[in-house]
Amino acid sequence: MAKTKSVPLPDYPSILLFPLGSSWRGSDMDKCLDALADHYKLDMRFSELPVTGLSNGFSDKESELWFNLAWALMRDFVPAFGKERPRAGTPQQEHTKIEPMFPHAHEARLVQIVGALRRMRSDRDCLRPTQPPTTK
Amino acid sequence: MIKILKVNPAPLWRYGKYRKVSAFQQAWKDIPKDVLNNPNSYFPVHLPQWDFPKMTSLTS
Repeated sequence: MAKTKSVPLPDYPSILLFPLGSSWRGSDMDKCLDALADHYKLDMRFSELPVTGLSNGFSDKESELWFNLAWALMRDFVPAFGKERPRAGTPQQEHTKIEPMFPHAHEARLVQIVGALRRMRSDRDCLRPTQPPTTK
Repeated sequence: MIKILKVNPAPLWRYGKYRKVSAFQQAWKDIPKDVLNNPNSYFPVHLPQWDFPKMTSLTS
């Protein structure tokens, strides 16, 4: 059984907030789709599409419009595709952010520095005279 | 290290604000083994090679 999880409703225009009911007409559907297209700032509205018969399939423009709408709805309602919400707590600063491509860069720099310091110390120890100079 | 950071602050480095040996010891424990063995492979390749002693003016 599917788990119930609440998803915040986007700030839709009022036409989208109430069911059309059983007696909806094609123009009602067009208005709702246009309202969705406006809300998601799609390139064009559904009412602007050229009328084509169903047998001709989708035109490229229409396919793109449906794809963009599907993507926008997925972003809003499917958590996997959603925008990452800011977590609680102190926002990450430049030096505490983890760069996804190089997540261990800060640690690697620390290792480099410690390695360099160890080398410098061992070099210095090698140069140091082992016995104090004898005086006659 | 702490003395170097006092003279050469590194505010953009994660460990730049560490002021205690124990903090560095703890940070060292958290570093993955692969990073300890081969730190050079964890940087963007396009960055220039970094000369630590020269950068910190430890050698003259």
